[in-house]
Amino acid sequence: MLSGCGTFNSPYYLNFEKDPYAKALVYLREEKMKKDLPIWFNNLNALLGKLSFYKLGVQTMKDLTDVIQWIEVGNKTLFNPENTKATLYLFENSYQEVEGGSFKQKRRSLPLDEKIWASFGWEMGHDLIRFVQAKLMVKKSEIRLGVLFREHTRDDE
Amino acid sequence: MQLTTMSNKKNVNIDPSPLFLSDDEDEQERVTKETSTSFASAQNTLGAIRHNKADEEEGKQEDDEVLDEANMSETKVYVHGEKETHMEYVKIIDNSRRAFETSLASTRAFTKSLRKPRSSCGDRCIRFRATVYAFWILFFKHHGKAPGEKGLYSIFLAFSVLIAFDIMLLMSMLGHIFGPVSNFQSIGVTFLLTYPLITIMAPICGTLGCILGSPDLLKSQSSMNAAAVLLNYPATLAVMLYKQDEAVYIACVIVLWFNKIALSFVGAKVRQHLINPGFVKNESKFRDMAERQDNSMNQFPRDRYLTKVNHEEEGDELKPLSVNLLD
Repeated sequence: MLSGCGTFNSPYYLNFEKDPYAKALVYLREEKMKKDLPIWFNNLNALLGKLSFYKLGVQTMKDLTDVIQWIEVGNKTLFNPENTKATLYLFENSYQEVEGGSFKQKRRSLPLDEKIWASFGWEMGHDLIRFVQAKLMVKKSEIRLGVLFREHTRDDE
Repeated sequence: MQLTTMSNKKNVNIDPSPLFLSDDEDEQERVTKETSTSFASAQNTLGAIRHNKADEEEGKQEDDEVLDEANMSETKVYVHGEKETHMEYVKIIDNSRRAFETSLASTRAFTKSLRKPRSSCGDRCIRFRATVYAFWILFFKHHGKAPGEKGLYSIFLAFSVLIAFDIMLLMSMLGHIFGPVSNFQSIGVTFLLTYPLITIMAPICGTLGCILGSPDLLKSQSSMNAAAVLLNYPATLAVMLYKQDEAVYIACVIVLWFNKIALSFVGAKVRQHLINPGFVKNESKFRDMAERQDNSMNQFPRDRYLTKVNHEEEGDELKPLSVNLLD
């Protein structure tokens, strides 16, 4: 799960130096990952730093595409050879009080895979950004980003 | 959650997901559990030591909420980091207890809510607010992108020129505010004290950020600039117009205002470069690797593209192609 909320003072960030899950990825292939994984994470953080859903739609589209493409580059070079795949996930949790301290929680998520993102097209991508932007402005939902690592085989391609 | 306390025995009606309910849990029935808990046994564990009665009650409640192992689902996981990667089955708490959902159902719910038409007046107002805020971010809180290797020094030069220009304009404004001192009571208060001293602190932070190469100081400078542009400068401008101040100084405040936009654009690039100086180089290296990986995958069939083959007899291990390419 990425920290931050995409604002100027709190940009999205993956603390790969302290996050045990991120660090554990080294064990996929220690001799290779030890060298390349921090570089990949560092560049991912640089791209995440400029991603903000509060920006203009066109800018956000470009930034989001950059992040998704970078994750795909990571997949091709680092993770797919180790039968793993990283996917950017967009989470939306909304809470609604039902009665007496009980809350109804709606949990939605969208995998932002390069293929899915490409299939979205301009219109759908723009709709997604406007949807997230509206949710953030109203502040009724919790919008988070996460990178999910899953088992991957050549057949999945 | 309903909790009924009796003297020796407790009837606790527990909702299986006491705080958060997901869409698919709406239909779940409430489970009634009869428990006869003894707090004494709980004290024998190495858990938190509870001292007062309120904590005891809380402790019992927590114990009741612990999910029964039978309700946990088994999941296949791969264990890395040992000599050989192996597979294990582990029991995890059911999906309804997770804070975030990644299932197909949650994705379907997301796409469904995306398709909902949003054209009401309220939605348009929100969109308008979002657009205004987006322009504000674009001009004064620019996130920036790491610059390429070309033109790096021209960006540094532009940034230092803009900071020097900012300081020069500030000095001229300070000269106007304190000469005569009576000006301080009118424009001085709005310029320096609306947000206290940020108009002076921002260029100082910028200069220090340049000298020390600190992205944090540059970020502080950018935040202060945004605050000054939002309140201090418009208030000063309003007072100057009201008092019919000299046109030169009115122009000075307007130029300061526009200078902040340029500082935000160029400063963001400098900041991003200081955060990750090797961004462009590393990016091109990884992209080259990905390209070569693509080419090799097209050229060689799967059985030759080895991920891991252990030759136990010889004791050697073939590396994946990417490692060889890297080496």
